[in-house]
Amino acid sequence: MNAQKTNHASFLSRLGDAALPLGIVVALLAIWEAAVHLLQIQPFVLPAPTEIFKELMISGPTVILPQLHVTMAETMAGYLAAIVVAAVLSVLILYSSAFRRGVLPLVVASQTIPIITMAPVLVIWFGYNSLPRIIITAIVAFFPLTIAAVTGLKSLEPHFIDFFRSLNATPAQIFFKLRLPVALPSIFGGLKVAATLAVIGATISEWVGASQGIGYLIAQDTALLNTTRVFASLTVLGIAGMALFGLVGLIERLSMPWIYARPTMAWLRAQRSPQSPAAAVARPRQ
Amino acid sequence: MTVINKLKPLACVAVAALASTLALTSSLTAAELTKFRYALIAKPGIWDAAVLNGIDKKFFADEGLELELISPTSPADGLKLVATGGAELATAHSTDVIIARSKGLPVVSIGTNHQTGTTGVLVPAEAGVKDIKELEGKNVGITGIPFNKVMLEHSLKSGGADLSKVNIVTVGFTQMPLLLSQRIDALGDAISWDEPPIYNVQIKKPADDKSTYTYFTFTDYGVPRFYTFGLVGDEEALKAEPDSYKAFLRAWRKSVEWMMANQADAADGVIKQIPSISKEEAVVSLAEIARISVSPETEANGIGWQDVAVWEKQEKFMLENGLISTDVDVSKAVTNDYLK
Repeated sequence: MNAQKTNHASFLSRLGDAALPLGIVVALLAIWEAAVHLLQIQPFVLPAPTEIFKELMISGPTVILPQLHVTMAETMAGYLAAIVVAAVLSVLILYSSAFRRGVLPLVVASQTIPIITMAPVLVIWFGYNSLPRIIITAIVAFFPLTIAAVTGLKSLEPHFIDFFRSLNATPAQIFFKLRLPVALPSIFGGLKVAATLAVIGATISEWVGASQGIGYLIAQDTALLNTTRVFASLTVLGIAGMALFGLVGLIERLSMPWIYARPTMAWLRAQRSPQSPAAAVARPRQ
Repeated sequence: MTVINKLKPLACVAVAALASTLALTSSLTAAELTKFRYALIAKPGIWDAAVLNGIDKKFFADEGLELELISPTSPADGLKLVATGGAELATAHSTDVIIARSKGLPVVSIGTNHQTGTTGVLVPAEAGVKDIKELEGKNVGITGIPFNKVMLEHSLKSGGADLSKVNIVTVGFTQMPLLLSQRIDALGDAISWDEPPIYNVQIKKPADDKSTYTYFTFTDYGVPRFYTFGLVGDEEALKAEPDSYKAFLRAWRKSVEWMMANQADAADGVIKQIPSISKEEAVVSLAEIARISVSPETEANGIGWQDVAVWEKQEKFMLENGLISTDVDVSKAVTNDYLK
């Protein structure tokens, strides 16, 4: 009976947690819808959410989703390339002060170049295929990853390293069993930022030298004053970006159980009756 | 010294009087001029030679107008600005006007810069392409402008080419570097007054050398004659301020006529404001622009005149090719009333 009550309370609590953000989104959409009608805003300036929804129903499955497939493939390829580049760079920056002094300024400088100006040059260098778009995506995404990884890897207190050394740990053991686990929260922070930037990078790259993808579709619809479908495409793109962000978040939770493990029912029961033998078991690691 | 000291107060009064007079004159001049917000099609270029020189020559000021130039980020933005009251007038392609009307934007073309569109395919001479059909197996780069792609495909089909054998690639506005680096074999939607001189200058040939390339104009392959850049206003604004629009068009016509008669000076006038433009290219571009600014209709009715029948054929072509999904009443989208 108590367990049932606990489940019920937990369900209500979760419902409450979900209702608030949902309520805010619904309220914002209602204000948007009302503003469009009351202020008689033309659809080519700002379409109403209901019109965007209708457009999603019409164009979503046949026009937008096939283009999204292309964009997300480029996004994932660029994102993975960015992860590899960032991993190599951050380790080199961590262990080589010469590399840090020589390359880090270039890495920072690379982020001050408006990427849209690089896109045509990359098309000229690498030809008309998906490679320039993947490179652009990677360039946009690798920077926060590198900075987050370096920050995380350098955040270790020196006495922990001394302790590991006193246990005759090899440099590889220090890296994989100490530095990397400590750096993971920072690395995942970078991975989340990079996930959204990768979507933006892939979309922008499709404005130049592409014949398909959401970015290409948006450019075409902008030229044809198809503003409602532009917003529908942006909506789908936003959802895809959130999904990628959520996926990284899920991997983060699974990768760091010592931070994200949920209290088990046995542990909760133990909390309520401290004398119970269960108090000694199933306690999540802190 | 004493005389100078005595004259000092007098000089101060004279300077103050002069300053007041100048200030009064300038404020009167500013008050007399009507601000007129004019959206260009994009960033200013050689195609704006008439307006840029017209401002410099005070043709617009003489008509009581002070032009405020706006550079939109995309060609369709000018029309949106006009339709929402953000600008009095915009330069827009006739295609965009028809698309805008199909979307309910109350925009009206009141004059056209060019009497015919010269969009076509530019192929370097060394490719040996003598017939549009020979583009089969070639990489043809296009900007991605929907109307241009439709015209290219129509022309290729009309010329007997198998569309599936022509690799049409959207490359945005990087066509020329891609052509020069041989990433593409042809420009699929060049404009006769733009790309040919640029191409020649890049390959170190005289800008007006026509032997370096082959040019297939779409209107030679069944695409109906169409107007390109036009002057577009909002229906209500045109009704409310007809005199301002007529004044603008008087000044604009004068500017175009001056530009046609003084092409080298007009090129200098543009370069003065946009130094990155090459004189050699500008002169060749302006010669071509001057050529297409006139037609038998303009001989009879003056610069900027538009034939509604031309618009109707273009609208039909766009409808047939899926660029618009609803019929557009072109008679409401075009008027010559403000040119009279």
